Amino acid sequence: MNEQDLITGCKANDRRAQREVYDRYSPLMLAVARRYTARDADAEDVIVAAFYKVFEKIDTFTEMGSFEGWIRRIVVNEALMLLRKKHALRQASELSEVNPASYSVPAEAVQRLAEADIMSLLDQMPVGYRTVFNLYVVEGYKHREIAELLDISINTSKSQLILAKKRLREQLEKLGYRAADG
Amino acid sequence: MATFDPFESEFRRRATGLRRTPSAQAWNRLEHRLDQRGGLRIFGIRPWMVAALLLLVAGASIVTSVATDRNNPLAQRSQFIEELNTPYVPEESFNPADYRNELPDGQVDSPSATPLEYRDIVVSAKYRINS
Repeated sequence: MNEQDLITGCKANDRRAQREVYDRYSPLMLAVARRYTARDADAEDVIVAAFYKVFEKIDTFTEMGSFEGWIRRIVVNEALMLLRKKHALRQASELSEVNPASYSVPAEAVQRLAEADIMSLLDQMPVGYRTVFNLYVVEGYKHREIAELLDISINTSKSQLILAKKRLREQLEKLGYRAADG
Repeated sequence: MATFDPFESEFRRRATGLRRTPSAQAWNRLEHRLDQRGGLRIFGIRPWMVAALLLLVAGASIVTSVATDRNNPLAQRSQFIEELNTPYVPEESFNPADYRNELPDGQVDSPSATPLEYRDIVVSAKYRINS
């Protein structure tokens, strides 16, 4: 079945189509959820809730944009809801003096990292840093959008990103990668 | 538009390529939720819709019965408060002259028109009709 058939099947509440959508997108979406939650069990809870919402709200999918992108947004929202429920997003600090150049990280360091290392780097970050870093760097949200999503100021979002990168740089240095000169 | 440094671009490329296989229980849980959603629908009507409708009907019938039952203390109380808040306005149609004309001839200005027990009571000037 192609994507259009799957969407039509899901709209008709066809369980076979729902299963195929799940099989096709759940590995990617579980990895997305896992980047936010830091626990495998929480990530699975997120995708169960997210796919339930996908099948429940499938009629609202306009088919103008990407189906995968639509599912991904639902997964990210569900992950943020879980973090909010656990009060994990409360601690957010704002930097008064920011020098992004001093926190730059060498790109070549990431190229040699394994999947487990990437997850481990993210897991070691505080929830606030990790969430903003994921939303900005991986999902491509703007600071204004992140501020609205997390109910924080734009400056706090920027601060959290810089602190996240600083933390990454420290961790990469521990792994033996030399940071770029600021 | 967001701008990415080389590290961010590389991290993004690597992170978006990650995949993880969910456990079999995850699909079972999802299917169970989907079954529950489907099973509880009867002709597209959900139980909470029926409960909400029943509550609305019950609420409306209680309000109607309270409003129409004059013996109900709640209805009486609201009537009483209304009376207290409304200043007394005498009927405009009442005309003392007409009233007097309708009385039998013998009773107009006749001492016998007033009961004996009220004859010695002096009526305040502001309440006298012909003051």
